[in-house]
Amino acid sequence: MIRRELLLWGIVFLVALALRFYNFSYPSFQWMDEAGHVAAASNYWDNGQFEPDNWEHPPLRHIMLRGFLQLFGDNPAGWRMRNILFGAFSALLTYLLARCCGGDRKAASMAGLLLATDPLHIVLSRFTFEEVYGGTFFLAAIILHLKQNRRSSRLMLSAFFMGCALATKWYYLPCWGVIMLLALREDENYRNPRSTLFIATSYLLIPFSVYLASYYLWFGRGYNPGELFEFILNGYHSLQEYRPQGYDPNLLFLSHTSAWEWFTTPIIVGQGTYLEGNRGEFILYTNNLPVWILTFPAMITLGFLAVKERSLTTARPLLFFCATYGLYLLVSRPAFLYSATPLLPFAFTAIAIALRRVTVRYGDRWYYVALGVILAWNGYLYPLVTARKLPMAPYRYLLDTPDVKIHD
Amino acid sequence: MYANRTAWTAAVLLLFILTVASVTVHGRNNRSFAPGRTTTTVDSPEKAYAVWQGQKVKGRILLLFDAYPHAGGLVSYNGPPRLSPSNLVEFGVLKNVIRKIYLIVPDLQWDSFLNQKGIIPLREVPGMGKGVYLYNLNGIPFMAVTPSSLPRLKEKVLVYVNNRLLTGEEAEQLLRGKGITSDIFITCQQGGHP
Repeated sequence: MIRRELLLWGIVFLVALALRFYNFSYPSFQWMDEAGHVAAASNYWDNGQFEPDNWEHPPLRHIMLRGFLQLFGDNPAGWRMRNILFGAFSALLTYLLARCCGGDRKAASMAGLLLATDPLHIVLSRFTFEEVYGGTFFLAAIILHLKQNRRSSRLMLSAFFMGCALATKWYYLPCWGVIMLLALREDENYRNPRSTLFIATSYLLIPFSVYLASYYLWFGRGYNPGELFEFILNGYHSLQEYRPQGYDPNLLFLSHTSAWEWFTTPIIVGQGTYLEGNRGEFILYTNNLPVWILTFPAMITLGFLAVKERSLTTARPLLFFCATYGLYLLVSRPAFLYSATPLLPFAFTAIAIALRRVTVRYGDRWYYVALGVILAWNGYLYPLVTARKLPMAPYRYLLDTPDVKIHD
Repeated sequence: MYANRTAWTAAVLLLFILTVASVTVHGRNNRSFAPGRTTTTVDSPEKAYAVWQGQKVKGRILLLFDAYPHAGGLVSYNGPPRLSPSNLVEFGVLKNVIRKIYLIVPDLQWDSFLNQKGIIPLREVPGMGKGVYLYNLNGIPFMAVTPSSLPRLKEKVLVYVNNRLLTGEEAEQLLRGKGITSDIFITCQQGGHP
């Protein structure tokens, strides 16, 4: 049994790794935000400063990228290997998440493979987007929380990874609170003062410590903790002032700025080059609507099943999804498509578990049909998001729609 | 039941205290003050930087009696930033001499200042009547404040006065009134128009 589980882990991880690793060094120059991210990593390491990246976001990203630059050099491997590895781990963690949410091995494999082959997750994993590794830390924190079995070390490790996620971006704040409340609720821990103190201390102070430590180099400019508080408040206010018209008009993501669209409207933006012989190469960001559109029905199904079965385990993907998605829906600043990345493990877990429930009723072969169709569709989109030279004809109907934004 | 939860709670608490202590000490160790008090006049803004450099100051608060300084960020330079008559303050920030700025705006000009192009207030500074944090690409705390709202600052500050805005004596008088001390007080005779 364990060997079979390990085999599935291996398959999910290796598929994800292969799709992210294949030809990752193309383009060989720093692409889109990479130039800013790489320069900012060195600037933060050398001077404690954030330019040319945004100063509002926490700086663990710079420290990690600097580490990878030291390890692999200032080349495509140094810039991108962090996301490739973390992206592949995300798929494995999605498998584990599905297992923690009541999914059997088939459901978990489907969830893991959905993330492993998702076009948006693949393209973000091949560059320096922070949603990939931040999302991996976040997922690791959730899974360690779900699998803690009242072991102190796992709970503290979960808090540590939550700190790493928060020191990357603030997306994860609502779920941080949810996890802490769930830990307090579990086995009525809140009734025991020593357990309550341990859980609250771990989930508050360990993330705070990681967050503070990520600013260590910034403190090297002479600042004190009170000034960090002042700085964070300024960052919060600055982010609230972001408006579409304030961005570079050439920014690809500007055509879709609302999180409401992510799971309901087709979004395809990106860069492309039209080549001779009716061929082209593209790096596109897409919400892969034929799969993503299943998210809301799957979430509703899980919600219904959770109530019917009085099972918190079944409701977990819905709970984590709502806590994270709610933030995107409530903020007044634009929410670009790449910010959907941390939601994908919950969405795919819900889709896989809901589909599995259906296929259990109607026969296993429908599971394989569904998995096969989804993987074939994702495989068809793969060349379109990874700059493969491809014939235009099979993709023309996707690229020629007026809503597709492609910058040559 | 979590094993050793009391011991782990104490360990986590200790970790947090040590983290706060280490960043506090690290910050304090990277703030350098001049050994004595230097009051000087320069004939061009960039010469003020040589004074700061000569006194080996870093990680400091600047009281700026001048117009809103050049703040285009690293992207506004072609290559590594170079000191010029127009970018003294930004260069000081990029070299970590300055960590925080109070830009003094005369009370009568406050409203027109806030409506100037390129001035982006982030939020009001708590406890100051007329004081706002200004957006800047480097993200340093950059406050615009009127003389009447300038708070009493415990830390010694760097002072830079553009003589076209007000005289060094007037600035000194304001600081005395607020109980603010400075280790390097620079007046620039030929600063640009405020």
